[in-house]
Amino acid sequence: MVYLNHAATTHPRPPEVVSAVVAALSSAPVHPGRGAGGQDPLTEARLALAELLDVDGAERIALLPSATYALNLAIAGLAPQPGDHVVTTRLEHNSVLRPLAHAAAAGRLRVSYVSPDRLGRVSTADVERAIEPRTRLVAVTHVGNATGCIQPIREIAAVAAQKGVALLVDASQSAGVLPLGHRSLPGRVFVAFAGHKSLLGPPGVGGLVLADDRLPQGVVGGTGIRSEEPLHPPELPLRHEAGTPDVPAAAGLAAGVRLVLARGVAEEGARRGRLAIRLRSRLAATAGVSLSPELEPDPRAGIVAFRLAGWTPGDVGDALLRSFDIEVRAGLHCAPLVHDPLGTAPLGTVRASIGWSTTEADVDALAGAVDALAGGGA
Amino acid sequence: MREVIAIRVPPGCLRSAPVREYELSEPVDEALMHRLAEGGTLQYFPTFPRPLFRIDRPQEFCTQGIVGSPVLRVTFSPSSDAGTREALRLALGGGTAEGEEG
Repeated sequence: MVYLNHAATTHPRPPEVVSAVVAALSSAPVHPGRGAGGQDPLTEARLALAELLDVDGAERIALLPSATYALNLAIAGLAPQPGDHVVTTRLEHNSVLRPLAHAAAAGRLRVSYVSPDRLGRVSTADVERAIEPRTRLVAVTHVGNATGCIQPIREIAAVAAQKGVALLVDASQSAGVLPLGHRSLPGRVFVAFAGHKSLLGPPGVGGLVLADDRLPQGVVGGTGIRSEEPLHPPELPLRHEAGTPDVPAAAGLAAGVRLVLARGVAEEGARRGRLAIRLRSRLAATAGVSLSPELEPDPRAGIVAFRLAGWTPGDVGDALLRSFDIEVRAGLHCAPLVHDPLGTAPLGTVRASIGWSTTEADVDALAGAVDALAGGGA
Repeated sequence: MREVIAIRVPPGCLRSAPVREYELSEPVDEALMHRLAEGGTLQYFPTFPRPLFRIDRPQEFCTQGIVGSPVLRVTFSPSSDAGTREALRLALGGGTAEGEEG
């Protein structure tokens, strides 16, 4: 199979990651406070992530079941009062849109949505204009998962900091491909990440980079320490980690992040960018193909979205998989609001997403298959 | 005898799209492909790694599949109705109707 759906989840997992998961499952439990001690995969994962994302202290990284969980935790804690206002964008994934929509439907907050331009980018000026006196949070993705477009989070962080508003960055698509530099982002910045995409880990683990130790707790319960106390420990990172952790997933994530560090984030972004340019240029030369967005000056995220005239995106995805054994993703990509501004509503696009294992032969196979579909058959 | 054994909503995030997967008891062959294409237009890609066909029956449905595979992907036209679905089911040999257990 040619796998070009890395924005959904990476496949195959590197052998180092698989070995780390198996080793953790095969070993005696080592979670501090609950086991016999020894090497702690959670701490290893935190240390590797702190280095990768340039976080000032590994304890600022809460390991959680997913980026979705992290985003829910942050949104609930950063805009908790009735009447609070949140600024977000139409690029966001449902993991941001739905927690906001639920809170808005319950009357707990109001939401303003900033639209991207035709290149899939939001402007910092539009974000600044949307901030009101009651705005408590700006929530923005680093890379649009449906488009691959990189957002100006450094400039947005500066605006949010100047206005005294917290910033929540969804780095699900960027962590491992683009530098984040959390330490140098101005203001109160939280970052959610997924472990199973470009960090190369298994599903079941993600996390939240914490700006400080003031985010209200969500799920509380057992931690393995200070069991005699009635309240959950307030210190980081246990403040946000309750219940028996997924140690094998953390071990796999640690191995994945170490691989990412060894390969080099800048190098990986440049490599994916070259492959994306190659794919975009081949697709752009195919009759009936329209790219979304039409231009992409910075394709390092390795996401290429397109439509083929006369075909629904779902039919293209089905034909690629069943006839050519090429897996892409078709539809709205769980980002339903971005398709109106980009002109791809209501059916969305076909999305090819490049990952650590993608080769020139892979993107050429996709381009050739789309060219064959466009040819019209007998 | 070929018949429909299951009708499924394919995985995806578009509940509003009127798309179904029809699973047949036997693989689609070229004879069935041409029969389904009567009254519509056929695109056939016999040289693909697995031979793909697409049939557009305006006002009714568009379907695509692989010759040799028992699964058809069907997108119903907004103007189609229950009669369209029943006619398609019968054209495929009868069997399970939508909403029934296969």
